Amino acid sequence: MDFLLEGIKGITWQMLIMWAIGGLLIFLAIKFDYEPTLLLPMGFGAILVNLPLTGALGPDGIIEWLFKVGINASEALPLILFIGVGAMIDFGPLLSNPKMFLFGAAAQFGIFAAIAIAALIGFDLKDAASIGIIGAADGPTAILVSQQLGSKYIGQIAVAAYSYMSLVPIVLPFAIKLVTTKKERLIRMTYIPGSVSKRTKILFPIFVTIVAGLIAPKSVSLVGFLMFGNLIRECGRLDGLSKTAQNELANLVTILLGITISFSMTAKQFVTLQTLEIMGIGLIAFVFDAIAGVLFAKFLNLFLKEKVNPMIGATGISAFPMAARVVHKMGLKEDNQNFLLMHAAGANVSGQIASVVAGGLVLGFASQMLGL
Amino acid sequence: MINLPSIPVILDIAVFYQTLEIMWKGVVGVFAVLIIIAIVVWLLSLTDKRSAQKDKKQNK
Repeated sequence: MDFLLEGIKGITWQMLIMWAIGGLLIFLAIKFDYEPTLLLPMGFGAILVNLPLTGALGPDGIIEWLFKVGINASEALPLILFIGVGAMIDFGPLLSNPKMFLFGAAAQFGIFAAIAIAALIGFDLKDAASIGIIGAADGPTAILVSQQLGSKYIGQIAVAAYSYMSLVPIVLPFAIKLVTTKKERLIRMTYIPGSVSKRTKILFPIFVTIVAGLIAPKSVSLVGFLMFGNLIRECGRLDGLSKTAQNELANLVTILLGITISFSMTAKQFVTLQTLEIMGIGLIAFVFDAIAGVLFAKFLNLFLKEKVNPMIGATGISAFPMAARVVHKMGLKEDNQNFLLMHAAGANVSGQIASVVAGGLVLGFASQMLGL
Repeated sequence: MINLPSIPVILDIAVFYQTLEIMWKGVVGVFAVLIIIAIVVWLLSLTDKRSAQKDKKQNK
């Protein structure tokens, strides 16, 4: 009867911790609706790969195969997901107010600060650069960069990135209130809806791909797939493909991406002090992103006739559309006639572009330094 | 001879300098890309406005 007890005998305390983490991710996804599309598959995967003698790992294991083919070989899953993301985004609010591009750039500072902090506490360059990308507030970018740099913490980085993205409604107000006064939060912004021509909407994804490709060549697959999705959306001739990219394609890839990431969530890799450090640095990166965006908005206000509500700066992070919604709600809470949504949406989609550009730049610089 | 406890060296100065290099190059790079894109978008919006004015004149 020993065969019945073989599995039970193989359980370690580290596995039990991973079951608890998996359970927590599933609980957060179901109970609080925190990024359920990814946290739930990741949580279930964490349990699946941490069963003693699991058949999901190993040369014939499905999770290991999915990881090798979908992420390790060519980062196909996160890149294909970007086609869906691009097809979902309406860049209209940004194109009608190009000033908002600057906020996207400013709110990436957390990435670089986090890289320096990670190096300060002892991570090597490839791991520090990968951990910093948590600050991009963009799960697929974090997965892609950490995989291409060969970081051994890809599981922790993915969990941190998606967990903090779901915590934007808590992290953002905290960071904003740290560096703004009530008077600043009350600044009203009038929105004049400017029409954007179809020609501009079509040319935009093509130009962005060319510019990003010329200045940050390593970002071109990320930016290119994002913009390809957007071109499908805006061209007006591929409505069927656009809808498929936004729904079926994005959903399919998301299911697979979440469970595939669990490959790197085995107890041996995950139950370490470094996991706590990575979660801590990730949180700092998010807070620094928001603070840098707000401070940049305040700096711009020194020169602008029509002042910008500094809270808009914090929406330059990539978490779309949650960041824009959170700031819009904060604006209404301070003054029920202050409608910031369209401005915030503009800065927020700018953050989407900026985060993939930043990811590509970090990838390029770190690869060069590491001789990859 | 007294054996002093060794202090683990956590910080690798060379790596830290590399991260600072990534920081300044990254910040400049992100701003450069986004500013160029913003200028292109602004130029496109100017041509949009011009063609809209042209259309208005022709309609009159």
